Amino acid sequence: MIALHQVSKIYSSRQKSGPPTIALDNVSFSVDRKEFVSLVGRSGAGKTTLLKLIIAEERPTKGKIFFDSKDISKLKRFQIPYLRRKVGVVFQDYKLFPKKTTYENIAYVLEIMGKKDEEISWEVSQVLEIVGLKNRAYNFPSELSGGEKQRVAIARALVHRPDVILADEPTGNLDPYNTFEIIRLLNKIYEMGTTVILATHDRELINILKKRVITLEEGKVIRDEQRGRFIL
Amino acid sequence: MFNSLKRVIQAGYKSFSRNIGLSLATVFIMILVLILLTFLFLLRPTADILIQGFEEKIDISVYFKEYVLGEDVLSIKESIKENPDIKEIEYISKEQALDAFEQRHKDNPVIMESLKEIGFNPFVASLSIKATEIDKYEQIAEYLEASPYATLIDNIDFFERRTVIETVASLNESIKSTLFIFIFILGMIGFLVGFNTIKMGIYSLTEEIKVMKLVGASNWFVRGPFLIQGIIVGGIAALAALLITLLLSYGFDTRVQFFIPEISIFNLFTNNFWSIVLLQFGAGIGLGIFSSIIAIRKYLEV
Repeated sequence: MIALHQVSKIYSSRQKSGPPTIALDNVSFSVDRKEFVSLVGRSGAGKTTLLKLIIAEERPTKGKIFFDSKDISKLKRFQIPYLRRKVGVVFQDYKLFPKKTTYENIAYVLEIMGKKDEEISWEVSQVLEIVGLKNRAYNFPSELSGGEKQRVAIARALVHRPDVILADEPTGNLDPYNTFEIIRLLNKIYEMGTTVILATHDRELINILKKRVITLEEGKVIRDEQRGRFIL
Repeated sequence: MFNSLKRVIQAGYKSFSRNIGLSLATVFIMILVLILLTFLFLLRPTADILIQGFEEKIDISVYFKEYVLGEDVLSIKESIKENPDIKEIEYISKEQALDAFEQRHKDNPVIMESLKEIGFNPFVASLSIKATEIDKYEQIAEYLEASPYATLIDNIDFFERRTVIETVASLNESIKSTLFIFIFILGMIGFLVGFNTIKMGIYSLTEEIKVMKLVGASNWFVRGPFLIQGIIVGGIAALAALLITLLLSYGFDTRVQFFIPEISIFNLFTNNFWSIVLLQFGAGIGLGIFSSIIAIRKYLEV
Protein backbone atom coordinates (compact mmCIF):
# COMPACT_ATOMS: atom_id res chain seq x y z
CA MET A 1 0.00 0.00 0.00
CA ILE A 2 2.85 2.40 0.87
CA ALA A 3 6.18 2.01 -0.84
CA LEU A 4 9.32 4.11 -0.62
CA HIS A 5 11.93 3.75 -3.37
CA GLN A 6 15.38 5.13 -2.61
CA VAL A 7 13.97 8.15 -0.83
CA SER A 8 16.32 10.84 0.42
CA LYS A 9 15.47 14.06 2.16
CA ILE A 10 18.15 16.68 2.48
CA TYR A 11 17.59 20.02 4.20
CA SER A 12 19.92 22.72 3.04
CA SER A 13 21.47 24.84 5.75
CA ARG A 14 19.97 28.25 6.49
CA GLN A 15 23.47 29.65 6.46
CA LYS A 16 24.86 29.64 2.93
CA SER A 17 28.17 28.07 3.91
CA GLY A 18 26.67 25.55 6.38
CA PRO A 19 26.56 21.83 5.52
CA PRO A 20 23.18 20.34 4.47
CA THR A 21 21.33 18.03 6.88
CA ILE A 22 20.60 14.56 5.56
CA ALA A 23 17.34 13.54 7.25
CA LEU A 24 16.77 10.44 5.11
CA ASP A 25 19.36 8.67 3.02
CA ASN A 26 18.27 6.27 0.28
CA VAL A 27 15.42 4.71 2.24
CA SER A 28 13.42 1.90 0.64
CA PHE A 29 10.70 -0.28 2.17
CA SER A 30 7.05 -1.03 1.69
CA VAL A 31 4.09 -1.46 4.00
CA ASP A 32 1.18 -3.76 3.11
CA ARG A 33 -2.46 -3.35 3.96
CA LYS A 34 -3.46 -4.40 7.50
CA GLU A 35 0.11 -4.32 8.71
CA PHE A 36 1.38 -2.89 12.00
CA VAL A 37 4.83 -1.40 11.49
CA SER A 38 6.95 0.33 14.09
CA LEU A 39 9.59 2.82 13.04
CA VAL A 40 12.23 3.05 15.70
CA GLY A 41 15.36 5.05 16.15
CA ARG A 42 16.94 7.75 18.21
CA SER A 43 15.71 11.31 18.09
CA GLY A 44 16.81 12.80 14.79
CA ALA A 45 17.01 9.39 13.06
CA GLY A 46 14.44 10.50 10.48
CA LYS A 47 11.20 8.94 11.79
CA THR A 48 9.14 12.15 11.78
CA THR A 49 10.54 13.22 8.40
CA LEU A 50 9.45 9.89 6.99
CA LEU A 51 5.89 10.36 8.24
CA LYS A 52 5.84 13.92 6.90
CA LEU A 53 6.79 12.59 3.48
CA ILE A 54 3.93 10.08 3.55
CA ILE A 55 1.33 12.84 4.15
CA ALA A 56 3.06 15.14 1.64
CA GLU A 57 3.87 17.72 4.30
CA GLU A 58 7.36 17.53 2.87
CA ARG A 59 8.57 16.51 -0.59
CA PRO A 60 11.48 14.06 -1.02
CA THR A 61 14.72 15.45 -2.40
CA LYS A 62 15.26 12.18 -4.28
CA GLY A 63 13.30 8.97 -4.83
CA LYS A 64 9.64 8.07 -5.08
CA ILE A 65 6.86 7.44 -2.57
CA PHE A 66 3.85 5.44 -3.65
CA PHE A 67 0.49 5.39 -1.89
CA ASP A 68 -1.86 2.88 -3.49
CA SER A 69 0.49 2.80 -6.52
CA LYS A 70 0.27 6.59 -6.95
CA ASP A 71 3.50 8.61 -6.75
CA ILE A 72 2.65 11.16 -4.05
CA SER A 73 5.81 13.17 -4.62
CA LYS A 74 4.20 14.26 -7.90
CA LEU A 75 0.84 15.26 -6.44
CA LYS A 76 -0.42 18.74 -7.28
CA ARG A 77 -1.16 21.05 -4.36
CA PHE A 78 -4.95 20.73 -4.69
CA GLN A 79 -4.68 16.89 -4.68
CA ILE A 80 -2.89 16.74 -1.33
CA PRO A 81 -6.03 17.10 0.88
CA TYR A 82 -7.51 14.01 -0.81
CA LEU A 83 -4.38 11.99 0.06
CA ARG A 84 -4.51 13.19 3.67
CA ARG A 85 -8.15 12.09 3.97
CA LYS A 86 -6.96 8.51 3.38
CA VAL A 87 -4.58 8.86 6.32
CA GLY A 88 -5.14 9.48 10.02
CA VAL A 89 -2.32 11.18 11.90
CA VAL A 90 -1.70 11.11 15.65
CA PHE A 91 0.89 13.58 16.92
CA GLN A 92 2.97 13.50 20.08
CA ASP A 93 1.59 16.90 21.14
CA TYR A 94 -1.99 15.91 20.14
CA LYS A 95 -2.55 19.00 17.95
CA LEU A 96 -6.21 19.31 18.92
CA PHE A 97 -8.16 22.48 18.11
CA PRO A 98 -8.26 24.28 21.48
CA LYS A 99 -11.51 26.16 20.78
CA LYS A 100 -13.41 23.08 19.62
CA THR A 101 -15.00 20.49 21.89
CA THR A 102 -14.02 16.82 21.78
CA TYR A 103 -17.02 16.15 19.54
CA GLU A 104 -16.16 19.05 17.20
CA ASN A 105 -12.48 18.08 17.03
CA ILE A 106 -13.43 14.61 15.84
CA ALA A 107 -16.30 15.75 13.63
CA TYR A 108 -14.05 18.25 11.79
CA VAL A 109 -12.47 15.53 9.65
CA LEU A 110 -15.89 14.29 8.56
CA GLU A 111 -17.07 17.85 7.92
CA ILE A 112 -14.24 18.54 5.50
CA MET A 113 -15.22 15.36 3.68
CA GLY A 114 -18.73 16.75 3.30
CA LYS A 115 -20.56 14.06 5.34
CA LYS A 116 -24.12 14.68 6.49
CA ASP A 117 -24.84 15.78 10.06
CA GLU A 118 -26.61 12.52 11.01
CA GLU A 119 -23.74 10.48 9.63
CA ILE A 120 -21.23 12.61 11.53
CA SER A 121 -23.18 12.25 14.75
CA TRP A 122 -23.30 8.44 14.38
CA GLU A 123 -19.63 8.05 13.41
CA VAL A 124 -18.38 10.33 16.18
CA SER A 125 -20.40 8.55 18.86
CA GLN A 126 -19.06 5.21 17.60
CA VAL A 127 -15.48 6.32 17.74
CA LEU A 128 -15.94 7.98 21.13
CA GLU A 129 -17.19 4.61 22.36
CA ILE A 130 -14.04 2.93 21.02
CA VAL A 131 -11.68 5.37 22.75
CA GLY A 132 -13.83 5.44 25.89
CA LEU A 133 -14.57 9.16 25.92
CA LYS A 134 -18.35 9.28 25.50
CA ASN A 135 -18.71 11.31 28.68
CA ARG A 136 -16.13 13.87 27.45
CA ALA A 137 -17.83 14.73 24.15
CA TYR A 138 -18.58 18.34 25.07
CA ASN A 139 -15.40 19.16 26.95
CA PHE A 140 -12.74 21.40 25.47
CA PRO A 141 -9.15 20.08 25.23
CA SER A 142 -8.06 22.30 28.14
CA GLU A 143 -10.47 20.31 30.34
CA LEU A 144 -8.92 16.93 29.42
CA SER A 145 -5.90 15.06 30.78
CA GLY A 146 -2.95 14.19 28.56
CA GLY A 147 -4.14 10.62 28.06
CA GLU A 148 -7.64 11.80 27.21
CA LYS A 149 -6.31 14.34 24.73
CA GLN A 150 -4.32 11.65 22.98
CA ARG A 151 -7.40 9.42 22.84
CA VAL A 152 -9.31 12.30 21.22
CA ALA A 153 -6.46 12.65 18.73
CA ILE A 154 -6.70 8.91 17.97
CA ALA A 155 -10.47 9.21 17.60
CA ARG A 156 -9.97 12.08 15.15
CA ALA A 157 -7.43 10.06 13.20
CA LEU A 158 -9.77 7.08 13.11
CA VAL A 159 -13.23 8.52 12.57
CA HIS A 160 -13.14 8.70 8.79
CA ARG A 161 -11.93 5.09 8.55
CA PRO A 162 -8.60 5.89 6.90
CA ASP A 163 -6.51 3.30 5.08
CA VAL A 164 -3.61 3.95 7.39
CA ILE A 165 -2.92 5.57 10.74
CA LEU A 166 0.40 7.29 11.27
CA ALA A 167 1.27 7.77 14.93
CA ASP A 168 4.28 9.98 15.61
CA GLU A 169 5.54 9.35 19.15
CA PRO A 170 1.94 9.22 20.42
CA THR A 171 3.02 8.23 23.90
CA GLY A 172 5.92 10.66 24.21
CA ASN A 173 4.09 12.92 26.65
CA LEU A 174 2.22 10.23 28.60
CA ASP A 175 2.71 8.27 31.82
CA PRO A 176 3.14 4.45 31.66
CA TYR A 177 -0.54 3.73 32.34
CA ASN A 178 -1.74 6.00 29.52
CA THR A 179 1.08 4.79 27.26
CA PHE A 180 -0.21 1.23 27.42
CA GLU A 181 -3.76 2.42 27.05
CA ILE A 182 -2.85 4.19 23.77
CA ILE A 183 -0.89 1.21 22.47
CA ARG A 184 -3.80 -1.09 23.33
CA LEU A 185 -6.03 1.25 21.32
CA LEU A 186 -3.69 1.30 18.31
CA ASN A 187 -3.50 -2.48 18.45
CA LYS A 188 -7.29 -2.66 18.53
CA ILE A 189 -7.48 -0.38 15.49
CA TYR A 190 -4.98 -2.65 13.72
CA GLU A 191 -7.03 -5.72 14.60
CA MET A 192 -10.09 -4.00 13.13
CA GLY A 193 -8.22 -3.95 9.81
CA THR A 194 -6.43 -0.61 9.59
CA THR A 195 -2.74 -0.30 8.74
CA VAL A 196 -0.80 1.35 11.56
CA ILE A 197 2.64 2.94 11.30
CA LEU A 198 3.96 3.83 14.73
CA ALA A 199 7.07 5.95 15.16
CA THR A 200 8.59 5.68 18.61
CA HIS A 201 11.78 5.42 20.58
CA ASP A 202 10.12 3.57 23.47
CA ARG A 203 12.08 0.31 23.76
CA GLU A 204 9.64 -1.42 26.15
CA LEU A 205 6.70 -0.72 23.92
CA ILE A 206 8.30 -2.25 20.84
CA ASN A 207 9.36 -5.36 22.70
CA ILE A 208 5.80 -5.91 23.95
CA LEU A 209 4.19 -5.40 20.52
CA LYS A 210 6.17 -8.16 18.77
CA LYS A 211 5.35 -6.78 15.34
CA ARG A 212 7.36 -5.63 12.34
CA VAL A 213 10.07 -3.14 13.30
CA ILE A 214 12.03 -0.91 10.92
CA THR A 215 15.05 0.61 12.61
CA LEU A 216 16.43 3.92 11.37
CA GLU A 217 19.81 5.37 12.17
CA GLU A 218 21.10 8.65 10.80
CA GLY A 219 18.49 8.60 8.06
CA LYS A 220 19.19 5.04 6.91
CA VAL A 221 17.25 1.81 7.40
CA ILE A 222 19.61 -0.42 9.29
CA ARG A 223 17.18 -3.23 10.16
CA ASP A 224 13.74 -4.42 9.02
CA GLU A 225 12.43 -7.46 10.95
CA GLN A 226 9.00 -9.08 10.92
CA ARG A 227 8.88 -9.79 14.68
CA GLY A 228 11.43 -7.24 15.65
CA ARG A 229 12.85 -5.96 18.87
CA PHE A 230 14.29 -2.60 19.79
CA ILE A 231 18.03 -3.01 19.28
CA LEU A 232 20.23 0.05 18.99
CA MET B 1 -21.81 22.38 -1.48
CA PHE B 2 -24.65 23.86 0.60
CA ASN B 3 -23.58 21.65 3.51
CA SER B 4 -20.00 22.93 3.31
CA LEU B 5 -21.16 26.55 3.09
CA LYS B 6 -23.39 26.07 6.13
CA ARG B 7 -20.47 24.53 8.06
CA VAL B 8 -18.06 27.29 7.06
CA ILE B 9 -20.55 29.92 8.27
CA GLN B 10 -21.15 28.04 11.53
CA ALA B 11 -17.42 27.59 12.07
CA GLY B 12 -16.82 31.30 11.39
CA TYR B 13 -19.48 32.33 13.88
CA LYS B 14 -18.24 29.86 16.53
CA SER B 15 -14.67 31.01 16.07
CA PHE B 16 -15.82 34.63 16.50
CA SER B 17 -17.80 33.91 19.66
CA ARG B 18 -15.27 31.53 21.26
CA ASN B 19 -12.41 33.96 20.71
CA ILE B 20 -14.61 36.79 21.96
CA GLY B 21 -11.78 38.77 23.63
CA LEU B 22 -9.71 38.87 20.47
CA SER B 23 -12.82 39.41 18.31
CA LEU B 24 -13.95 42.42 20.35
CA ALA B 25 -10.46 43.92 20.33
CA THR B 26 -10.46 43.61 16.53
CA VAL B 27 -13.96 45.12 16.31
CA PHE B 28 -12.84 48.02 18.50
CA ILE B 29 -9.80 48.79 16.32
CA MET B 30 -11.94 48.49 13.20
CA ILE B 31 -14.48 50.96 14.65
CA LEU B 32 -11.65 53.48 15.15
CA VAL B 33 -10.40 52.90 11.62
CA LEU B 34 -13.90 53.36 10.16
CA ILE B 35 -14.52 56.55 12.17
CA LEU B 36 -11.21 57.87 10.86
CA LEU B 37 -12.18 56.96 7.28
CA THR B 38 -15.59 58.63 7.69
CA PHE B 39 -13.92 61.77 9.04
CA LEU B 40 -11.57 61.78 6.05
CA PHE B 41 -14.50 61.20 3.71
CA LEU B 42 -16.34 64.23 5.12
CA LEU B 43 -13.24 66.39 5.09
CA ARG B 44 -13.40 66.78 1.31
CA PRO B 45 -16.92 68.31 1.09
CA THR B 46 -16.13 70.42 4.19
CA ALA B 47 -13.07 71.86 2.48
CA ASP B 48 -15.11 72.38 -0.70
CA ILE B 49 -17.66 74.44 1.25
CA LEU B 50 -14.87 76.54 2.79
CA ILE B 51 -13.14 77.04 -0.57
CA GLN B 52 -16.47 77.91 -2.17
CA GLY B 53 -16.94 80.48 0.61
CA PHE B 54 -13.62 82.15 -0.33
CA GLU B 55 -14.47 82.07 -4.01
CA GLU B 56 -17.95 83.50 -3.44
CA LYS B 57 -16.36 86.64 -2.04
CA ILE B 58 -14.42 87.27 -5.24
CA ASP B 59 -15.82 89.16 -8.25
CA ILE B 60 -14.65 91.64 -10.82
CA SER B 61 -16.29 94.92 -11.79
CA VAL B 62 -16.50 96.38 -15.27
CA TYR B 63 -16.82 100.19 -15.19
CA PHE B 64 -18.31 101.95 -18.19
CA LYS B 65 -17.48 105.37 -19.51
CA GLU B 66 -19.29 108.37 -18.10
CA TYR B 67 -21.50 108.86 -21.15
CA VAL B 68 -22.73 105.24 -21.40
CA LEU B 69 -26.39 105.07 -20.51
CA GLY B 70 -27.89 102.68 -18.01
CA GLU B 71 -30.04 100.92 -20.63
CA ASP B 72 -26.96 100.37 -22.82
CA VAL B 73 -25.17 98.71 -19.90
CA LEU B 74 -28.23 96.54 -19.32
CA SER B 75 -28.28 95.44 -22.93
CA ILE B 76 -24.50 94.68 -22.75
CA LYS B 77 -25.27 92.66 -19.62
CA GLU B 78 -27.88 90.63 -21.52
CA SER B 79 -25.52 89.89 -24.37
CA ILE B 80 -22.44 88.91 -22.29
CA LYS B 81 -24.32 86.74 -19.80
CA GLU B 82 -24.37 84.02 -22.50
CA ASN B 83 -20.64 83.54 -21.87
CA PRO B 84 -20.31 80.06 -20.24
CA ASP B 85 -17.54 81.23 -17.91
CA ILE B 86 -19.85 83.74 -16.24
CA LYS B 87 -21.85 82.44 -13.32
CA GLU B 88 -23.54 85.60 -12.15
CA ILE B 89 -23.72 89.15 -13.45
CA GLU B 90 -25.19 92.11 -11.63
CA TYR B 91 -25.90 95.62 -12.96
CA ILE B 92 -25.01 98.45 -10.60
CA SER B 93 -26.36 101.81 -11.67
CA LYS B 94 -24.69 105.15 -10.95
CA GLU B 95 -27.25 105.73 -8.16
CA GLN B 96 -26.74 102.33 -6.58
CA ALA B 97 -22.98 102.88 -6.62
CA LEU B 98 -23.43 106.25 -4.89
CA ASP B 99 -25.81 104.76 -2.29
CA ALA B 100 -23.41 101.95 -1.56
CA PHE B 101 -20.53 104.41 -1.18
CA GLU B 102 -22.53 106.65 1.14
CA GLN B 103 -23.64 103.68 3.18
CA ARG B 104 -20.07 102.49 3.50
CA HIS B 105 -18.63 105.85 4.54
CA LYS B 106 -21.52 107.41 6.44
CA ASP B 107 -19.44 107.55 9.61
CA ASN B 108 -16.55 109.34 7.92
CA PRO B 109 -17.45 113.08 7.85
CA VAL B 110 -14.39 114.03 5.75
CA ILE B 111 -15.37 111.73 2.88
CA MET B 112 -19.05 112.68 3.12
CA GLU B 113 -18.08 116.38 3.09
CA SER B 114 -15.83 115.89 0.03
CA LEU B 115 -18.66 114.14 -1.80
CA LYS B 116 -20.94 117.08 -1.07
CA GLU B 117 -18.23 119.49 -2.33
CA ILE B 118 -18.10 117.72 -5.71
CA GLY B 119 -21.76 118.47 -6.16
CA PHE B 120 -22.61 115.66 -8.60
CA ASN B 121 -22.66 111.86 -8.68
CA PRO B 122 -19.08 110.94 -9.65
CA PHE B 123 -19.80 107.22 -9.94
CA VAL B 124 -20.31 105.36 -13.19
CA ALA B 125 -22.53 102.37 -14.04
CA SER B 126 -20.85 99.04 -13.73
CA LEU B 127 -21.35 95.30 -14.03
CA SER B 128 -20.27 93.04 -11.17
CA ILE B 129 -19.28 89.63 -12.52
CA LYS B 130 -18.75 86.31 -10.77
CA ALA B 131 -17.04 83.57 -12.75
CA THR B 132 -17.94 79.87 -12.65
CA GLU B 133 -14.39 79.12 -11.52
CA ILE B 134 -11.71 81.30 -10.02
CA ASP B 135 -9.27 80.80 -12.90
CA LYS B 136 -11.84 82.06 -15.46
CA TYR B 137 -11.59 85.74 -14.49
CA GLU B 138 -8.67 86.39 -16.78
CA GLN B 139 -10.49 84.88 -19.76
CA ILE B 140 -13.59 86.95 -18.96
CA ALA B 141 -11.52 90.15 -18.81
CA GLU B 142 -9.83 89.31 -22.10
CA TYR B 143 -13.18 88.47 -23.67
CA LEU B 144 -14.61 91.84 -22.62
CA GLU B 145 -11.57 93.73 -23.90
CA ALA B 146 -11.86 92.02 -27.26
CA SER B 147 -15.65 92.49 -27.46
CA PRO B 148 -17.43 95.18 -29.52
CA TYR B 149 -18.24 96.94 -26.21
CA ALA B 150 -14.56 97.49 -25.40
CA THR B 151 -14.75 101.15 -26.47
CA LEU B 152 -17.53 101.72 -23.94
CA ILE B 153 -15.58 100.18 -21.09
CA ASP B 154 -13.58 102.53 -18.93
CA ASN B 155 -11.91 99.97 -16.67
CA ILE B 156 -12.01 96.29 -15.66
CA ASP B 157 -10.70 95.94 -12.12
CA PHE B 158 -9.44 92.40 -12.76
CA PHE B 159 -6.05 93.85 -13.57
CA GLU B 160 -5.84 95.60 -10.19
CA ARG B 161 -7.24 92.61 -8.33
CA ARG B 162 -5.27 90.04 -10.25
CA THR B 163 -2.78 89.35 -7.41
CA VAL B 164 -5.55 88.80 -4.86
CA ILE B 165 -7.48 86.52 -7.20
CA GLU B 166 -4.41 84.49 -8.08
CA THR B 167 -3.41 84.21 -4.42
CA VAL B 168 -6.85 82.87 -3.50
CA ALA B 169 -6.73 80.48 -6.46
CA SER B 170 -3.31 79.10 -5.53
CA LEU B 171 -4.30 78.90 -1.86
CA ASN B 172 -7.35 76.84 -2.83
CA GLU B 173 -5.18 74.57 -4.96
CA SER B 174 -2.71 74.03 -2.13
CA ILE B 175 -5.56 73.35 0.32
CA LYS B 176 -6.89 70.72 -2.11
CA SER B 177 -3.55 69.02 -2.69
CA THR B 178 -2.53 69.11 0.98
CA LEU B 179 -5.89 67.65 1.87
CA PHE B 180 -5.44 64.90 -0.70
CA ILE B 181 -2.05 63.93 0.77
CA PHE B 182 -3.47 64.13 4.30
CA ILE B 183 -6.44 61.92 3.39
CA PHE B 184 -4.18 59.48 1.55
CA ILE B 185 -1.67 59.14 4.40
CA LEU B 186 -4.28 58.83 7.16
CA GLY B 187 -6.32 56.48 4.98
CA MET B 188 -3.26 54.27 4.49
CA ILE B 189 -2.52 54.33 8.23
CA GLY B 190 -6.12 53.33 8.93
CA PHE B 191 -5.92 50.56 6.38
CA LEU B 192 -2.63 49.22 7.76
CA VAL B 193 -3.88 49.31 11.36
CA GLY B 194 -7.01 47.36 10.39
CA PHE B 195 -5.03 44.94 8.23
CA ASN B 196 -2.45 44.26 10.94
CA THR B 197 -5.05 43.76 13.66
CA ILE B 198 -6.70 41.02 11.62
CA LYS B 199 -3.31 39.62 10.63
CA MET B 200 -2.25 39.36 14.29
CA GLY B 201 -5.50 37.53 15.10
CA ILE B 202 -4.82 35.01 12.36
CA TYR B 203 -1.15 34.74 13.31
CA SER B 204 -2.17 33.50 16.75
CA LEU B 205 -3.98 30.62 15.05
CA THR B 206 -1.09 29.54 12.79
CA GLU B 207 -0.73 26.16 14.48
CA GLU B 208 -4.45 25.42 14.16
CA ILE B 209 -4.43 26.32 10.48
CA LYS B 210 -1.53 23.92 9.95
CA VAL B 211 -3.42 21.10 11.70
CA MET B 212 -6.53 21.78 9.61
CA LYS B 213 -4.41 21.31 6.50
CA LEU B 214 -2.74 18.17 7.89
CA VAL B 215 -6.06 16.45 8.58
CA GLY B 216 -7.10 17.02 4.98
CA ALA B 217 -8.96 20.34 4.84
CA SER B 218 -8.94 22.10 1.48
CA ASN B 219 -7.70 25.69 1.33
CA TRP B 220 -11.24 27.05 1.03
CA PHE B 221 -12.46 25.05 4.00
CA VAL B 222 -9.68 26.58 6.10
CA ARG B 223 -10.06 30.07 4.67
CA GLY B 224 -13.87 30.15 4.79
CA PRO B 225 -14.41 30.57 8.56
CA PHE B 226 -11.80 33.36 8.65
CA LEU B 227 -13.63 35.18 5.86
CA ILE B 228 -16.92 34.81 7.75
CA GLN B 229 -15.21 36.14 10.86
CA GLY B 230 -13.87 39.06 8.81
CA ILE B 231 -17.40 39.78 7.58
CA ILE B 232 -18.83 39.61 11.13
CA VAL B 233 -16.07 41.86 12.53
CA GLY B 234 -16.39 44.32 9.62
CA GLY B 235 -20.20 44.34 9.80
CA ILE B 236 -20.40 44.94 13.56
CA ALA B 237 -17.67 47.59 13.38
CA ALA B 238 -19.45 49.35 10.49
CA LEU B 239 -22.76 49.37 12.36
CA ALA B 240 -21.14 50.75 15.51
CA ALA B 241 -19.10 53.30 13.55
CA LEU B 242 -22.24 54.47 11.71
CA LEU B 243 -24.07 55.00 14.99
CA ILE B 244 -21.12 56.74 16.64
CA THR B 245 -20.41 59.08 13.70
CA LEU B 246 -24.12 59.90 13.41
CA LEU B 247 -24.30 60.81 17.10
CA LEU B 248 -21.02 62.75 16.94
CA SER B 249 -22.14 64.77 13.92
CA TYR B 250 -25.45 65.53 15.66
CA GLY B 251 -23.84 66.37 18.99
CA PHE B 252 -21.11 68.60 17.62
CA ASP B 253 -23.20 70.25 14.90
CA THR B 254 -23.97 73.50 16.76
CA ARG B 255 -20.48 73.70 18.25
CA VAL B 256 -18.85 73.44 14.81
CA GLN B 257 -21.33 75.95 13.39
CA PHE B 258 -20.36 78.39 16.12
CA PHE B 259 -16.81 78.48 14.70
CA ILE B 260 -17.59 77.92 11.01
CA PRO B 261 -21.17 79.07 10.29
CA GLU B 262 -21.12 77.74 6.71
CA ILE B 263 -20.69 74.17 7.87
CA SER B 264 -23.31 71.89 9.38
CA ILE B 265 -21.63 68.54 9.90
CA PHE B 266 -24.99 66.90 10.65
CA ASN B 267 -26.37 68.11 7.30
CA LEU B 268 -23.17 67.03 5.63
CA PHE B 269 -23.63 63.60 7.24
CA THR B 270 -27.28 63.23 6.30
CA ASN B 271 -26.69 64.51 2.75
CA ASN B 272 -23.99 61.88 2.28
CA PHE B 273 -25.72 59.23 4.43
CA TRP B 274 -25.86 56.40 1.87
CA SER B 275 -22.33 57.08 0.67
CA ILE B 276 -21.17 56.89 4.29
CA VAL B 277 -23.11 53.65 4.86
CA LEU B 278 -21.50 52.24 1.73
CA LEU B 279 -18.06 53.46 2.78
CA GLN B 280 -18.29 52.06 6.30
CA PHE B 281 -19.77 48.68 5.40
CA GLY B 282 -17.65 48.42 2.24
CA ALA B 283 -14.44 49.35 4.04
CA GLY B 284 -15.27 47.30 7.15
CA ILE B 285 -16.27 44.08 5.41
CA GLY B 286 -13.84 44.60 2.53
CA LEU B 287 -10.92 45.12 4.89
CA GLY B 288 -12.01 42.08 6.92
CA ILE B 289 -12.12 39.82 3.86
CA PHE B 290 -9.03 41.27 2.18
CA SER B 291 -6.88 41.10 5.34
CA SER B 292 -7.99 37.53 6.07
CA ILE B 293 -7.18 36.33 2.57
CA ILE B 294 -3.77 37.97 2.51
CA ALA B 295 -2.83 37.09 6.10
CA ILE B 296 -3.81 33.43 5.81
CA ARG B 297 -2.14 32.86 2.45
CA LYS B 298 1.29 31.84 3.65
CA TYR B 299 -0.05 29.53 6.38
CA LEU B 300 -1.95 27.48 3.82
CA GLU B 301 1.21 26.22 2.18
CA VAL B 302 1.33 23.03 4.28
